Amino acid sequence: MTQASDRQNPLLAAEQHKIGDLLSRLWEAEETIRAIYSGEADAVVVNSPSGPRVYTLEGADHPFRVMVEQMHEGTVTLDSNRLILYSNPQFAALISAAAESVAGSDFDRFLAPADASLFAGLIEAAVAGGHSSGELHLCDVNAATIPVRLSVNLLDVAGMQNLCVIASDLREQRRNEAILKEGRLSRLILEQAAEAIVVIDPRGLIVRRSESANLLARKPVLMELFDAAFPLTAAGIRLDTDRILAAMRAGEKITGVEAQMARSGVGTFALLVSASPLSSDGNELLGCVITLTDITERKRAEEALATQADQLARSNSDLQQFAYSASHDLREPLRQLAVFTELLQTRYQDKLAAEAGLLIEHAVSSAHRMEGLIKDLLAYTQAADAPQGPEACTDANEVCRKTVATFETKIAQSGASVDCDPLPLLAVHEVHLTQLFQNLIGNALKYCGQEPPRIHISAQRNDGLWKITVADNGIGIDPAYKNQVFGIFQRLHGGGKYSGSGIGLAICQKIVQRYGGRIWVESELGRGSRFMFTLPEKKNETR
Amino acid sequence: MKRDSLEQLSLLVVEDSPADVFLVREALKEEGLSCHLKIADDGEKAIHILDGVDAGDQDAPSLLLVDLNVPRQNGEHVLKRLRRSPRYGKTPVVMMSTSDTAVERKRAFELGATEYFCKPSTVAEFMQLGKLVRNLLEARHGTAA
Amino acid sequence: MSNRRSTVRTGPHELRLYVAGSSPRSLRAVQNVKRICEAELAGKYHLEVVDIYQEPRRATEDQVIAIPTLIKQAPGVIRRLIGDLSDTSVLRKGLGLLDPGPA
Repeated sequence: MTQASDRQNPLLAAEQHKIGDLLSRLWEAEETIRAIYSGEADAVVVNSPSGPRVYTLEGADHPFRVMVEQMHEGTVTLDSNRLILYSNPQFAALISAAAESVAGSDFDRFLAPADASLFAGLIEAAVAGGHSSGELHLCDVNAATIPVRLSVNLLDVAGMQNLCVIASDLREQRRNEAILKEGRLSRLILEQAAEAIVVIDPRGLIVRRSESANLLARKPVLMELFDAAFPLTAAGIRLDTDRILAAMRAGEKITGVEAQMARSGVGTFALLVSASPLSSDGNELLGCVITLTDITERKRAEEALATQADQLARSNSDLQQFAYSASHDLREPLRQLAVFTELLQTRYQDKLAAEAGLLIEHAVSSAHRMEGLIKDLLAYTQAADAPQGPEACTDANEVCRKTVATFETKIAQSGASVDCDPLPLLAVHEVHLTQLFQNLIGNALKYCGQEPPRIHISAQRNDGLWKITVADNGIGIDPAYKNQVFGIFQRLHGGGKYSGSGIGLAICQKIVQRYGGRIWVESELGRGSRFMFTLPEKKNETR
Repeated sequence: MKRDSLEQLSLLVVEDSPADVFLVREALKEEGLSCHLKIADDGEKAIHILDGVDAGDQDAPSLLLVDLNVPRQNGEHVLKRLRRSPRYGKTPVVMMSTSDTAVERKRAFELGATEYFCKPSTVAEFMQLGKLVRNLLEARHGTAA
Repeated sequence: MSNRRSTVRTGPHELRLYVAGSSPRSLRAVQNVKRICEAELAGKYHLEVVDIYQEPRRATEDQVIAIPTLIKQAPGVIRRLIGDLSDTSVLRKGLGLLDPGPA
């Protein structure tokens, strides 16, 4: 046909075109049938009411196919030129590539250039020995490197020498290992913690716990609701996971909050509750760590102590009151007894036999003595009471001087001499120090021997305490009774030779003990005595 | 000293212990004072008497001897009541007590006691009370015509 | 013997190969297509390999029944070839690659 005729017959051309098209399509349809008939097709795709269905014409490999498609790792089939003939979806995902662009690409495209030789080595080894594996880096479509473990296997299939490469994403493995290690460590720590520690998720479920938490709840608490395992109340209001999680979200801290947990049959536990939030990198609240410290014993001990202290205070005050009123009420009739007995004696002296007089004298002196005892007993109970007023601080020199002055007459009468070394400032109330000196100096004057009494008062410092010594040259004390002298109403001399009821040294001891000090005596019969007591020094607080 | 004039006087003794009343009498007798003694054995009765005095029903005592520890209204109340009397508030009062603490002494004087007498356990000391009373009475009445 | 001059159209070859996973024919098909394209169309073709086990819908959209099937979508008329494409001359023809002239 000439061009002219073609142009002259457009209709004909169009028809010829159509025929050409139809012939193509016919050929293709025939080809399809022929291919299926002659077994050149692997599978057939048919449209069914429920969608496209694939009929595999050779079905034996179905389970393996599923395995390959579903496995976690990426896998590719390479030919001897390292052309990717097949890739499973996971490999495509690993290198962030579209599924249909992987098969038909060269594998080297997805290999980190630095590891090219490594990979070549793996191939060689696999070809030689059937299998090889190693770690190297892939390169994804965004040029990021991906650490993988490759397993390379020789695949002799249908006459082709292909290679099957399986790639495991090491990033995940490494992360898992780290998490595992950390997890193991945390788990160990948590399990062994002495405290009851639990981790709750946002639903309030216990997802981790220490052994102690199980002990506290008296049952296993893993996967239990925290509120059920540990019903807590703080300040009368229920402390449940809603409140705790709300506080965590609001950024509030919960540290050492006192709460109570009732346990049926066992009573109430007193606990200290602390909670810290667990947040993800994106600041989402993942859960909360709660620590419960059992302070029941501590609280019980505190309460017991407080009760005891109360009781003690009350008992003390009772005693004081009793002593006071007893002494008052007891002394009244004694006084009268003494007076009337005396009257009896003086007015009827001449009317009574001599012996009667003596009897009355004994009665009178007994009454006097009884009165003295009661008076001294009262003094003893009241001794060492802290007086009102400024804190304890006394210049011992002053007190010594004043006390000696009160014995002026006696000193003059007996020709006694009292020497006072410089004495320190003591952290003691003046009233108490006065009593001390009065008793000791008074004793020294009283229990003198033939010679005029010579008394020497000195002080010695020792480790924050002052030791005061009152030494005399009196009759001394039998060492066997060194400790007895400090007893209440203990006297070493009967028969009324020396006045006094024997309470003086007991009072001294009570006073000294109140300040944490000691009192004792060194003495020999006929060679005088040295009474020593220790008291705290007044520390300088300024500076 | 006009002894005789003193004998006309009457004293009010507020004391619950008969033994002590006896001793007071003895002390006064020893001193030669035989004044008339009106005895009230509790504070309430004593105050009642003082009310009567102010009302004009009774003669006013020239001196009071008051034990601190009498039942019902105690010695302090009696003293306070006396001092409130517009006409006889200045009557001398001897407070008596078994104890001799500085605190109680001070308190008694603060409330208006004229003297404080600690009841002793010897006869001789008790007799001092007589002298004490005489001195007070003379101070009050001795100069009066 | 007219020497028809062939007009090589501009525009790359757009090829889509439907395979059935890693079945032997599918693997061979990939290999064969790739070999010819690299030899005669280097840098001038786009090849997509679609696994009908992963995306069967695309097969029906393209009205593909037997697998493997290669579809040449461009340039020129849409052509389909079925089988593992080991017959090189059929493949070349299907891709629109003319025989070299007689020597």
